[in-house]
Amino acid sequence: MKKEIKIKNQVEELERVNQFVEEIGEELGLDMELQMNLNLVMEEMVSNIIFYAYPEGKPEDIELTAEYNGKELIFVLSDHGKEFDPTAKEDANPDINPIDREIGGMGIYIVKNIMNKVTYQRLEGKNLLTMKKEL
Amino acid sequence: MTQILKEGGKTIIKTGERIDTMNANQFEEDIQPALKDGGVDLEMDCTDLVYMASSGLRIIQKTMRTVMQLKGQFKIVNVSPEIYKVLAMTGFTKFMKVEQKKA
Repeated sequence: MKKEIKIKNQVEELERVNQFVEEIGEELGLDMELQMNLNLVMEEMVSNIIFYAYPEGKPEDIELTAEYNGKELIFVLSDHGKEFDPTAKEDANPDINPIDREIGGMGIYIVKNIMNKVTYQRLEGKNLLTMKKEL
Repeated sequence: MTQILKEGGKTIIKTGERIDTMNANQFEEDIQPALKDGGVDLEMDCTDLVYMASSGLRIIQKTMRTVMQLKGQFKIVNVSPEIYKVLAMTGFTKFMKVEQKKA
């Protein structure tokens, strides 16, 4: 299975990403929890790009591909915005009371927890984020 | 649709189905009236909640701080098992009262 979707850097487009992930979930017969978790992962990473990758007000493209090879479901998210490695961000520490933690920083932490492998590359002016989940 | 209900001395925030990137700001605005009183006894009722993104967790984090400053109490109830796991993963269940939905 291989699927792809191209969206614009607008918050409303998250709804299409959601549908895209749901179609994949149905096709692969994923359970409700994994379905929700994958939706969460894609929303976190795509919204990061929507908010931070491009100058405000300029419509730009974001691409997401999903491929299942019989063992792993692999998502690749790409944009040609400014260089940004979300995996380099320091993880939120769940052993510290959220009251005492910096606000936020939980998105990428959730993504790393849900997926088996998350890697970032800067290639030919693009940010490429590869996220793998063993099924 | 978020609802704010008063029940005895308690203030209940009844969430809608989703707290996500698209509606998180609205949710944050909706709950502000519940965060005005000192000593507030706040309960976030997640009976209808099926999905929450980190934008929702961020609001919970901020609400914890506000309630602490107000010297109040804050707990989350009727959470689905899937959302409970996300709250556990991010360290919330360790530091505040979170009750799962009864099966």
